[in-house]
Amino acid sequence: MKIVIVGAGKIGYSLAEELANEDHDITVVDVDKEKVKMLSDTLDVMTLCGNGAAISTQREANVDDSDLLIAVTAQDELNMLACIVARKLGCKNTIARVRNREYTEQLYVLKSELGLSMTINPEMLAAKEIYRLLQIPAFIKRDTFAEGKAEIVELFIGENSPLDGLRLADMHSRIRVHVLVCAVLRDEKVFIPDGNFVLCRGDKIYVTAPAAALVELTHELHLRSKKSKNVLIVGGGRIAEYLAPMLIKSGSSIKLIEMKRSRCEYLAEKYPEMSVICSDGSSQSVLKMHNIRHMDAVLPLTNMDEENIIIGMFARKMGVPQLLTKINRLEYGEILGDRGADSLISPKSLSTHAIIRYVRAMENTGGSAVLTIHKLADGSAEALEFAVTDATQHLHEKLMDIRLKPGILIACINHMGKIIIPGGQDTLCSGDTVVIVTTAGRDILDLNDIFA
Amino acid sequence: MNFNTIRKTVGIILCIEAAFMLPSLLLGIADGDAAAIKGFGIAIGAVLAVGLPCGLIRSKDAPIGARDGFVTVAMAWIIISLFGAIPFYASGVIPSISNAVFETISGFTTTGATIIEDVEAAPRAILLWRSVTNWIGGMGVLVFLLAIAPVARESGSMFLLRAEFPGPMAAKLVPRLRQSAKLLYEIYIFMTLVQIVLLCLGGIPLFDSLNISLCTVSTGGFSIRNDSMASYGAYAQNITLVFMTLCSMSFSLFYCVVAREFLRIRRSHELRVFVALVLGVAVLMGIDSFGKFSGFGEGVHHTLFQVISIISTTCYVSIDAGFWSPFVWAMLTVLMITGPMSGSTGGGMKLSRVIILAKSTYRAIAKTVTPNSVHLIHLDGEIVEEETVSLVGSFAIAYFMAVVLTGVVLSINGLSIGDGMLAAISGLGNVGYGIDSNTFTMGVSNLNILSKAVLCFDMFLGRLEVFPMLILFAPATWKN
Repeated sequence: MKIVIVGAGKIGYSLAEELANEDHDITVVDVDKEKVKMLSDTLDVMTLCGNGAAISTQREANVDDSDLLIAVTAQDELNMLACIVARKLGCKNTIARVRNREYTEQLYVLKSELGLSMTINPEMLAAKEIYRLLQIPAFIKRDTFAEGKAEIVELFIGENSPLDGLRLADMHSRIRVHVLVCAVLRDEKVFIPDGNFVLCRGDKIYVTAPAAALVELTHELHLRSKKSKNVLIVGGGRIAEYLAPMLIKSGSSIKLIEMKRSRCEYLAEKYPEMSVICSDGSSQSVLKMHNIRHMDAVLPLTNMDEENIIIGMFARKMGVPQLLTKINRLEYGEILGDRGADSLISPKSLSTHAIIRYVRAMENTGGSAVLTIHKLADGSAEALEFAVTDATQHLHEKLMDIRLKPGILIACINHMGKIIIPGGQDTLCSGDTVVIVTTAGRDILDLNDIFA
Repeated sequence: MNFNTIRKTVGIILCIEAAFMLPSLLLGIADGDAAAIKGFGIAIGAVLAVGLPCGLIRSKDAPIGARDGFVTVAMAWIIISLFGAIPFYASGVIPSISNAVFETISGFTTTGATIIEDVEAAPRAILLWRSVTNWIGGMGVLVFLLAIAPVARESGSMFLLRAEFPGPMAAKLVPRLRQSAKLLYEIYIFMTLVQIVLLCLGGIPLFDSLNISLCTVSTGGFSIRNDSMASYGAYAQNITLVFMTLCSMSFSLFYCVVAREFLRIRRSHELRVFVALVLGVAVLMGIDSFGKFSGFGEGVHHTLFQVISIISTTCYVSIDAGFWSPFVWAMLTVLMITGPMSGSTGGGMKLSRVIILAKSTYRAIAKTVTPNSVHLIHLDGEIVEEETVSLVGSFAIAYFMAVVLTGVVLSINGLSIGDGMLAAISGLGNVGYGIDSNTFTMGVSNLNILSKAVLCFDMFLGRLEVFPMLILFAPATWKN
């Protein structure tokens, strides 16, 4: 597919990288010469220096002949304008990044006028993700499949966990919930386990479960299942602003520390239910004064990755059970390897993946190609959702008789809206959707690619 | 330095070279020529013996940087030239190793200067291999690799294209590198086939048509006759003239025609300079040689053929070189330095570099007159970055240094500094004039080994556009 990306910032770059790896023809437009040059040196994409909202630049980038334009510059107005121009030139699909709250609210009105196929708001995505994770604190990450009916959740096996030393084949006798461990991250290496795999302390595991069974799972594993009610947010940026109304509605009590006086006043005026403190949230004495040790969850959401990490480390030391740290450079997460139980929230990668999911969906007009894709284990494993069609091989055969390629696992089957965690007796039927877990970079483009 | 990737790439390129030797081997078998069969048998065996292990041993793919890209390209060219010399030597056609290597380098760099005294007596298989070296070298062996091998997906492959691309600003035609490389070769192959067919239609034997075409589209200029193109007649010369002209032009212009982007062709400053330069020199030559031709048509034919043949750096001749006056040769020598458009298969400095140099000289004058004025250098409606301008400056300095130093080295053989520098210009520009033509009293084969080595280095320097070769000899390249 021919895709034009306007804006070579953080999101633009990672989009170009991922989409180019999926064999799309990418043209990146940005006004910054240095950025453009760096991009053309490192990625196999075409670059163009110019204003992406100008019709002449778009003509030069062959937008009229492209399938999709993605506008992800720092300016909302420019993004929307770029999309309007692209529509006029005949580009059928446009995606704009719109972050400003006021615009987001009127987008429902403007979306048809502007002809936008999708708007992306990284901070809103981050806020939603944080909200979901606060509901069941034991899960580090949650990815939904099958229209929200199934999830793959990330769990950390700590000390005293009933999973420590458990052979996977014995799991069903020990735990009464029907779930499946589909990937294990141990010492930065990812394993797609079979029945003989033995879990151990310090592993991060990825578990497929029907959405309804998630709470039950936490009970079985003696994990904290009660949602985090007392929340401390450090940094009153956009994510906090989007998150506040959701939390207030669900009855949580929020304490927010923000440095800038004017911003504090704005937030306090807008959300009187929240207690806003104007102070330096990176100072340990301030955090102690505001009772950090009695919080259910601490959310470092400032604009500085380093500050967020330090605040997180302090909170962990104070014994805060749940930590959701905002991080833009996910590389930092790798450095922090041992902080296993923390959730890292990256607005950048959330929006990149949302856009890539959209692009994949655009490509699939039938057939058994990928419906959704989620990255697991810091991107070293992938969960792919496929539709089963009449073209799929091995229909109606028992799974125990079907041989799959090594390192591939069928994690979940959605049969007529019913989520099946597959065992050897289950079968695939046309009309089902299945979730496949595999190590990354395997080029599984069709469901039939998984069979040996 | 990413030695694994370099080794692997060079290994694959050697395998490609073996594949290109195969037609010559088959022709040798068909002709029943024992010497040629022996030459190519040994050569293919040796190339595969080294290439297969190097190319097949798996290693962790690591991204390559600018330095690795340039080193890969330089190493690949040197190594294929060394292995490419085996058929000449092993078949006994060129009994001296240094001469065989010179012939191969002259072939791959599309210089087209030959060491073989009597080419008409050489086996057909050997002649075909000479033409094939021209053809591979014309568009570039790394570009070929990028077009067929999946390495293009690895990040950093752009550096490979940039190191081999003729011209100051390498750019892809389409977003994907592999598609770009494929497109270039598709255009290249298409032109070769069209020329072969046209020549055959004019009654030229198939083998001659094939060789002429391979050496024309690559602007190499090897011929399978001792008098170059002179005895082929007007029709074959005119067809060759057309294809030499086409291959002096940037291949991106042909893509613009295919993609119907005529605006970009109209905007091409370089194209206008090219046309003006060719016509200007041709008119001056016509005036200078007035009365020497039997008719107007013949005059136009020979003049244009000679101008295009030199500016495209093919160096075919349609008429004896002694026919033209020293003034004409002086003008043609200037064309050897400028060369054709960037992005073509020709050699020389490339017109776009000359334009940038001229503009930056003009800017220096304008800045002296009006000290605080701001001048940007434009080319084809776009601003040339200062980094590119300064690189072009360094390129020109290195180029002329090479000319002068080569002249000095060649003078050891008793050549005048003028003749020596002409040989250097011809070698650096990948023209091939002077060394084999009768204006030279001494053939290359009589030069001492140092002179031959320097000329070989010049030819590489010219084909790879100076920097990849120089980087190979910079100590900083080999430090980690």
